Amino acid sequence: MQDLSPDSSQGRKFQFGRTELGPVVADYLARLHTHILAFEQEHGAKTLFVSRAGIRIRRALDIFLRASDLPPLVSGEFFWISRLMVAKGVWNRDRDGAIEILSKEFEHAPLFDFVLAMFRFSPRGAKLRPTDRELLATGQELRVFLESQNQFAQILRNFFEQQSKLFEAYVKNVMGDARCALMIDTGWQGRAQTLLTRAFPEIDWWGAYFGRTGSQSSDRTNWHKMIGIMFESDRYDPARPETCVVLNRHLIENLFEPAGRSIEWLAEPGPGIVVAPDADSVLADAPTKETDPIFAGVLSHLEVLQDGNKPSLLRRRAADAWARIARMTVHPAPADLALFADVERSADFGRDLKVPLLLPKDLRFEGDTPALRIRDALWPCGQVAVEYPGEIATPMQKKLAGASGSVLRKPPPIAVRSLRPRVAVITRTMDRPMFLKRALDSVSRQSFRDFIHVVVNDGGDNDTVKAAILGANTDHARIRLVDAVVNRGMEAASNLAIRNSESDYIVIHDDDDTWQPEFLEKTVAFLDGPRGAHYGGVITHSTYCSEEVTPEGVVVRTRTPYNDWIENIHLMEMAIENFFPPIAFLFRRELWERLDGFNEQYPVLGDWDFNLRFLVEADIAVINEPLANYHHRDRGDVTTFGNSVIAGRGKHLEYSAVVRNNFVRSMVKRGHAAAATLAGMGIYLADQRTTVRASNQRVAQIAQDTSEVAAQMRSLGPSRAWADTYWFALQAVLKALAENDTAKLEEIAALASGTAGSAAARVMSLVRPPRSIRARTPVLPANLERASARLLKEAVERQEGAMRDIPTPPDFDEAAYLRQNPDVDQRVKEGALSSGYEHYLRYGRSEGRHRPLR
Amino acid sequence: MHWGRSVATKMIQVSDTPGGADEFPPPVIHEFAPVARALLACDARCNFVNGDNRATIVKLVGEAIARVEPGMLSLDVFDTFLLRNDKSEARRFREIAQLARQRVSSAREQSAKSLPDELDFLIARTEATALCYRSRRPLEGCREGHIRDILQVAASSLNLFRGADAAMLEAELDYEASNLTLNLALADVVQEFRARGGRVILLSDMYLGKDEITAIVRRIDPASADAIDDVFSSADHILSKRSGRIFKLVEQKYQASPEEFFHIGDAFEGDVYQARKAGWGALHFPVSVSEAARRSLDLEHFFEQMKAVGLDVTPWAKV
Repeated sequence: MQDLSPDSSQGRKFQFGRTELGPVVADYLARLHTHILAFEQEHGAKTLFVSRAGIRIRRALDIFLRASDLPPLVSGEFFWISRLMVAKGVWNRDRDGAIEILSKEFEHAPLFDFVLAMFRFSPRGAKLRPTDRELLATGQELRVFLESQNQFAQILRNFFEQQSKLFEAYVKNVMGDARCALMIDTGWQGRAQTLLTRAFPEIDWWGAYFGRTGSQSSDRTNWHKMIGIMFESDRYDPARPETCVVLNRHLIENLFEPAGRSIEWLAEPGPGIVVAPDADSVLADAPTKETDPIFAGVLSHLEVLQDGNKPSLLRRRAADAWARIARMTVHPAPADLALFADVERSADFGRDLKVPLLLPKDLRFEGDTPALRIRDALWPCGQVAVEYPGEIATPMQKKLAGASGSVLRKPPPIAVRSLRPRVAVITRTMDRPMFLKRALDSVSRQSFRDFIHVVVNDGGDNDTVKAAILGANTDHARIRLVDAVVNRGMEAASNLAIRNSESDYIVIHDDDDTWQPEFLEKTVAFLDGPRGAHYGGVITHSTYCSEEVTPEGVVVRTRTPYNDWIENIHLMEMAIENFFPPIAFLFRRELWERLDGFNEQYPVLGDWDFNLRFLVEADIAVINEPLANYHHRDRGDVTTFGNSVIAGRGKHLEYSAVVRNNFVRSMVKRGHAAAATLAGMGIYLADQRTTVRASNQRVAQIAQDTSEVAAQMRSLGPSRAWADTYWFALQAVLKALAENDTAKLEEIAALASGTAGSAAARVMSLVRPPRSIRARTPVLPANLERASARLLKEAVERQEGAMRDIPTPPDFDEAAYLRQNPDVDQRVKEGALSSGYEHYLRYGRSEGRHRPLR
Repeated sequence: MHWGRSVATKMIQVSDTPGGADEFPPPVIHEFAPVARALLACDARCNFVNGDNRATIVKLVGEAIARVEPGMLSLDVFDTFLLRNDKSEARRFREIAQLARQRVSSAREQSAKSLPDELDFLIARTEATALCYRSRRPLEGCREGHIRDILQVAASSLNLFRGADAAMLEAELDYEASNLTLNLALADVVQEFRARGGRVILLSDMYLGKDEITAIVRRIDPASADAIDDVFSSADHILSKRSGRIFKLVEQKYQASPEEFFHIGDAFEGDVYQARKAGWGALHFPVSVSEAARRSLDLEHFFEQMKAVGLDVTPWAKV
């Protein structure tokens, strides 16, 4: 007899379900109900409660509707599927999609396991005795295996074809005349929905999930049709506590997972009748306070709904509960851990493996550490609490949750606008209307709109400039044209334009440069924000656009990162040379006023002088995004439209000394001896840097020359995994050739069959032994992949000493691997392993460890 | 010294002898778009265009149109032909929810006590809006919801009686009609344009369809409604001005070329940039800086009020 008192373990779980998850689920069900009604009314959708979670969701929804005095849901059917069932089910219509998902699931498992998993609950599985040595390969070779003549591959193909046929009939029966399906499930990436969308395009598949969350590798093609009712986020956001589910999805998955088998096969008991034989085991799910106290607690909350079912009340109650759930998900107390201590999650997809939500503190293998257990745990923040006391755990959990340093979200920033625009964009131009039009468009396309664009015509034909402005598709109310009447020089033109505008910030947008649309939005937001308060200006990274003026117009030929090494701005660095363009620099008007503007005496390098003086007064921050485009006409005719760097080198040389000397003198006059020395030394630093760069270039060239083999190796395989396999095989072949070991070469050759392929030819081109040896070399393996894999596998299995001698391939970063894997480093130091690469080949690959590239 | 690519300097044109400022003649300042600049600078467009400046605006707009000589005049509706007040969109939704609840209660002579409260109406409507926008089949990459779908879903989710959505729609139309002001200057422009034989259409990016927009204009000023030849709304066609796709549809309807159209609207992207890109003449009729500021302030107050009752409206509330 279980203890169900409120203080007992079961009693606390029941209470957690009732008071915490209950309000959350009530709000979810209310919203889910709206979605079902909308899809049924507006789209004639068929509502499908997807097994297995859908069975409990439906049960909870029925109770919620009853308690809310809402009409019961008359529509909706259970949809007896699993991801594995769908993978089998789409076999006839989308074989690639099916193999893709199967390969992913069994990537590191032997084909032996795969075959058994495919028949887990099917009576046909019991008769199978897969012992063939071919089944020792891993799921990475699944496609090759499934297309092979292996007897098990043939059995599987027949089984998949039969299941797919039944599945097609099943989908047809379930959908009837409906052409739109709304799948109800817990979440999270809608993989089954994606497969169904590809295989059954005649049906409009939608998903209404508890939440939607993905990773970098998620297929987001149909993301817009996957509705996360409670949240749609890839990460935890403290301002949206409901996103804490991202940190422990099992909180919800476990809640709605009924007892009973996963649906992995269909049967046809009579002509035209398709059933899921394991559905009954799921329908028999009868959770009670004793067997599943958390779910029972949730149902108990739903049955009463003491506050009623009004959306605003449900929303408020849920918000309160989410705040508490988020706290316990990120920083669980021992009592919180106890709620989930016995939770085990099924690996499913045909496998019987069960994984505990929280791992015990025991060593799982030699070299196991708390850090590895936290990495592997299904609920990492919970595992931290298992491993460490609170004062150590808290910062770790914050970091794992991605909540370090984040602040609660305020409402979206509201720009309370005044007549004074925030930014004055200054464009200097003279007789270059085709560039000016591009600049006008660049400014006009900015997502940030509170600016004035001051165009200063520095002595060119004003009618031409006016015509260019009037002809541009731009926001003309934000443009002011300042006609300087005569040419005053670049810096004087800038000052004139700035004096004829009002703003908080200033940026020089030369007439031949451009921005990405977010430039102003991001730079202004930075300087407006708390971090920006410490800075006088901010730059973004830039893109160097090499362009040419052609009869068809200005054509950008190449785009490359420009000085993308910039992480911060040192006065010392600026003393060497100017290293960011004006187009990338937004600064406070107050600084321009304090510096008395740009120095109008300089025909060139005025921006360098300004930046030097600026840095004496204030710092410049860096936004590490290439939002500014720095255009150069360095192709074709550079005399007419060339940049000053290209077309006026002589003047730059002359004024580089003038600017530096003036700066030094002014610093001396102001008593800033250190700054003066710094600027004076810059010339020597520049020379040194140039010399070092030249040396580095030579070294890089040598490295490039010697990396050809590595490059060829990389080109051999379709994946990194194959590159290692080839590498191993290549070393074996090379060793055999060097030792004239014909027996070994014959053994290698015997591993493959068929005719010589291009891959084998590529290996031959690398090996190229002397003619005398080549004459005696047996035909190299034709099926290179199979032979290479087999070589490596057997070497691993036999614990061959040869593996100790395997050289590290040129692209494998041995040092990084040892650094990332302290357990391996230790074993190498002890002499148990010859290198990190040996470990990677033997174990690391199958353990899924990261392969660092050099 | 070596010049490498890392040196970030260039210029427009190298001048050999830049001189001192004293030697130069005074600069000449040119500004553009007088209508848009005047509107941006005014305190409230409603007073500005319907008061003493009405004739000036009519003249300036007329001149801009005359430069193109179009056969069709197209007007954006909300914040252009019909001027909004200083309330934020979120506030309007809240007030519409309040009115909708009253109307639903009256429609059934149902005790207000038994109805969900106004916040429930607000939540139901905003959720239904998001759902309808998302689930409606997109067209050429455009998405749009329709008020009738939105209110039907909202009424269902609140478990209201059949026909409650019609009462809610009436509330929506009445609210809009009583909170909008006819732009008298543009109404004059419309009459003048028609008098010269031109045709006038309304073109809106909005969840209200042609029928609803027509009804609102008629409730505000029947004469203006009579002066409109047709109404195009993204709610009906899904295609929008913002995407630039609806202009072609209008051209096809009238079998006219782009040069024959002139459009006026407050949104630079949809009403001006995209219209011009489509080959139409266009005039920007922006919301004034002061009005925009007041709406922003109103939204801030709205956030605070909702926070005080425990509701987070930041995901949907807009200015």
